[in-house]
Amino acid sequence: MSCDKEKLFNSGVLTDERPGAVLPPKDLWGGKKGGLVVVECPQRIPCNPCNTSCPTGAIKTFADINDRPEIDYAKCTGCGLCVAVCPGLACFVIDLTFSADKALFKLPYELLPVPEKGDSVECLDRTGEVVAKGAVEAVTEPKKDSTIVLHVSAPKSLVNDIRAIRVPCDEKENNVIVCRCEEITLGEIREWIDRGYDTVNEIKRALRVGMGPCQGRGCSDIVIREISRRAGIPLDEVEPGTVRPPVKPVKIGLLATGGEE
Amino acid sequence: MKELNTDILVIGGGAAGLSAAAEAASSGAKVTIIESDLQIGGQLIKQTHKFFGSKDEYAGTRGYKIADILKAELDANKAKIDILTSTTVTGYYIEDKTFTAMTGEESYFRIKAQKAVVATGAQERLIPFPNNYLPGVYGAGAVQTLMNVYGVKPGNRVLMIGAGNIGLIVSYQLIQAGVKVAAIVEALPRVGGYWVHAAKVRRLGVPIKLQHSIKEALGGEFVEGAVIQELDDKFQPTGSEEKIDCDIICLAVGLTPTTELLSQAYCEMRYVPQLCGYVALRDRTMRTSNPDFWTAGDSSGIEEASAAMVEGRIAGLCAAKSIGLPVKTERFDEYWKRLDHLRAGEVGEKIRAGVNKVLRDRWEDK
Repeated sequence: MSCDKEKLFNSGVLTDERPGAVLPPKDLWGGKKGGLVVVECPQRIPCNPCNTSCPTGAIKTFADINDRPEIDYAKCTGCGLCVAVCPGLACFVIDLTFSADKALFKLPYELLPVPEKGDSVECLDRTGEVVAKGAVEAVTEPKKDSTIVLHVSAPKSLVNDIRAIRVPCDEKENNVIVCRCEEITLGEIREWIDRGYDTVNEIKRALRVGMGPCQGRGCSDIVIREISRRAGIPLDEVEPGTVRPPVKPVKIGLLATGGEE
Repeated sequence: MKELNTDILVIGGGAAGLSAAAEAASSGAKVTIIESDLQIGGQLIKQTHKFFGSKDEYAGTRGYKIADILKAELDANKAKIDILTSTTVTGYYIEDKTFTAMTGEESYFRIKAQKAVVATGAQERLIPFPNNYLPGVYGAGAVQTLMNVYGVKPGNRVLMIGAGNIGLIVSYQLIQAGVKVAAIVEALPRVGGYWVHAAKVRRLGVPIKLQHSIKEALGGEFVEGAVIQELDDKFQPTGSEEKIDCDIICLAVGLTPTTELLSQAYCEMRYVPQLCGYVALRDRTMRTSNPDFWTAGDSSGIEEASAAMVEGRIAGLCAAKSIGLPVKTERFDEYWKRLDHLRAGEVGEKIRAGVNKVLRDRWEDK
């Protein structure tokens, strides 16, 4: 067992508390509004932004830049700046005062799509297993540098398990073909809408949706509805695609010969 | 043939080269940077993750932003610095103390420089396995270039070979780009990169298979899968195999220093496993046994970009000093202090051992 645990740790999964990866003291943690920092940085590496970004000095100054972080929990306010700054995404803040049965997890997040307040997300443990559903309570970007700090409420019993989230994605639904001429799926269209492409012309240029033989008769309506729903634009304000002739493919030969084959 | 003259020639516009150029130009030297790529910045421009280190090495800042910071520093000394992109230094002819260079494939010319800083970086190592010629087998650098420079998704499902920092970081970047990472295989019994980088991809559900390697790629016209195999403590296959469903096989099995020009300058070279290949012997000023040549960055030994930037600063400063320019010598001590800090920990042990093998006493005083 201990050998398996060691192997798991060597592949990047924290199995037990170790220097640089300890939980805050229970007595202080339980009543601390705003939460306390949980750092999982068990290897000595040359890195110190958690310390230099900490506004209260809770993450103690390193004697050697290779030191593991040490925390003065009395000074930690749970602000989450270290969560946003840590290049290893190894800092988390957990607030046990959120409710009777739920804790608030402040987690670093650098993926798309970025969920919104109120969304339900899948909570992942250190091996990526879904262990619970969580609710997004806030979406912040403390350093305005694309590292999001998500505030997610989830069962308090999983305080030592939940370390990441995933926005649920319905594979079956995402594989549905929207544009049958060009074989473009709902998932692909959603992906580009999430990247900020929110007009029919943009989606069309990125994916060739509506550029096949039917010229969008089958799919434009679905694309417009999806943009509206996903980007939050009222249906009648979604920019429709430019409609150019021919509305149906015409053979080049026919055009070249002046209309007679 | 056209001939270009400069005080200090910096070969390579990456982390080390740009730092060397900034340092030399701020000391008053006329500097020419030669960069083989379309733009300067080297590997930094592909790095979307935040860097480690301290504030002095821009820790917590994304790599491509660090490239912007270095470019701004060069801009502040514009009058002193020429930058030639899409240009490769093709050789050094020691009898004439002359470099040859080529821009694109059209213009070929000579360069004469008082001193040269070789900051040519590294090349990727490859490993041989059956069907490795299939389209879909990439080096990690190429995958990063496609994704992070040109915005092209290389495939849909990747098998990553190697759990060093590059394998782990590129896996994370692939996930960010919407590519599934089927698995990371690593021949050693532990990840070679920073543990926190491994934890980052593990918690997103990526399996890291320690003591495993690729046996062969599968597919007819392109990669359609791979077979991986378990290894024992002596790196021999145990017989346990697994088929991985993937359309990309990404090799992140290490780098080796790019040092042709140093060899052509007859710099004394030595094979140092800890520095990942042949490197030039150097003194603390980063000067090689050829008094006109300095070495810095990955071409002087594979290490982190944070260290490459400091080495570049040392080389640029000392090259400027060697042509008689007044330089702030206290900077030299400060830079060495930074290097020593970066290399002080356990992960720096290998580097320290390697550097000890190639560090010589002050050549410039002889």
